[in-house]
Amino acid sequence: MSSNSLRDHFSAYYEGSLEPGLVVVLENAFRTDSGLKAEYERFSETLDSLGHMAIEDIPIPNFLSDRIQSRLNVEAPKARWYELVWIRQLGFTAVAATAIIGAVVAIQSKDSGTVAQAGVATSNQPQVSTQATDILKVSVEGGNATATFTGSTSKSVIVTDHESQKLLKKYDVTAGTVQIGLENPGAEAFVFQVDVTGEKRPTLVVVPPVTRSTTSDLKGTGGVIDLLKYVSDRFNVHIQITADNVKDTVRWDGIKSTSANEILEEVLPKNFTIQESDGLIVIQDR
Amino acid sequence: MSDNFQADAMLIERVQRGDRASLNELVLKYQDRAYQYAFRLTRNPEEAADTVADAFVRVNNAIKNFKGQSSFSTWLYRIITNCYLDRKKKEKNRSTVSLDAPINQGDDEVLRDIEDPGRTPEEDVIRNEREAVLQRALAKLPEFQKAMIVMYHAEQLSYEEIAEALDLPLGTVKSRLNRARLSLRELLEKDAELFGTAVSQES
Repeated sequence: MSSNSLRDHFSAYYEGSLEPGLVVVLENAFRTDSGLKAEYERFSETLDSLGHMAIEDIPIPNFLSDRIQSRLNVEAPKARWYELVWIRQLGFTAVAATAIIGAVVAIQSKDSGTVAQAGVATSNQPQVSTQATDILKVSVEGGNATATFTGSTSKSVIVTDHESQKLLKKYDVTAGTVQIGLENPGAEAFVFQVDVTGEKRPTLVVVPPVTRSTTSDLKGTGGVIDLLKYVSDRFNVHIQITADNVKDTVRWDGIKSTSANEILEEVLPKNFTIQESDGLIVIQDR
Repeated sequence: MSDNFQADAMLIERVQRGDRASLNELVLKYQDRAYQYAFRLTRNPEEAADTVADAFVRVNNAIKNFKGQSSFSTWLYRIITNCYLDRKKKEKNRSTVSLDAPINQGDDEVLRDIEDPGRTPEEDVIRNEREAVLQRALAKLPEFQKAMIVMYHAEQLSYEEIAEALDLPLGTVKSRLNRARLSLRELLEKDAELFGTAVSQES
């Protein structure tokens, strides 16, 4: 057998998986060919050194999530983003709901007492359910929003910045409840996206800033979400929306309405329903 | 079937139905591992992150066709490898000269020795010499061979998993990996001649 053919068996010999007959052939060759033997020794040293690769510490850059999400936002099939449906599998018999959500930049996890970098808030109240397996409640009290999710099976509640799709917080809920308090310390309204695994549509929550800006620089035309941010900022209201076509273009410049409800009813397409309760405006498409 | 495999199967099913939250969860679960593999191939944080982002876009576009015949992680390795190879192919098609490409000087080819501008002298000092020598040699391997070496030795995939990831027969993986190791040994010997270093020597 030639040296080249013998080299083909170096790895198997090193790993001890070479069949016995070839082991004898190779070891005989080593005895008669010192060059081949030296070559194998260097080969085995190389493999020894490769073992160190596995323990190399590779830090994960903090921009990785953003990089992935922004690429997905740009290149993923656009329809997918708004196919998401909220509370698809609840199976509840009756829901009298007013939903509420708070907004973000610092999420306080009430179950753990920890404060995260950014957050979302949702509240829903009251929901009357006799068979519900998963329920999201959003409530607003004293201008503060709290989201309460109760799941009967393992679910993840994922809160993202709707505009950038940056992940703010993820909660894994296993047959239990998680409460998430939301604050928006920013200078303008913030839109939180709340996704629950298994649900196709997210719930979006627009939260006004704690300190309102005196003037809003939002233009009088844009998407539905732009309008909601304008209304939230101007009238200091929390808005929850669950709808497919939030990218529809609407115009609100020149509208003279003096309340949030009025301007929404006047500007939003007629397939949206608008309800208000306890400081939360809930919008859904029909 | 492992719990992880089953958990992935459920998650993937939801992604296939268009559940964005499940896609995010899948990304979160695998992005670090994906990045580590991509970084080991590219040795560049920006390039590695771009490769991983490319890979997850492909995952999202192709997941409806994912049948679960291999594990998701193996499938992801395949996609990352393809993204990496595609990027390298595009780089080669550009008119610029790769820093890793040999300089043609007639009879013998001399390998370029250009310092990584992103590394500080202090980091160079701290850096383990053996690792530096090894990385220098790995960088000179053909991309496909490098991917196989990284999969086996750094990511610790089995031959069977590599065969699945690269869609190659098991015997082909074993013989190609042996060839890649032989090539690496030759490169390390050349490196030792040029720089007076040996991969086996302790730093």
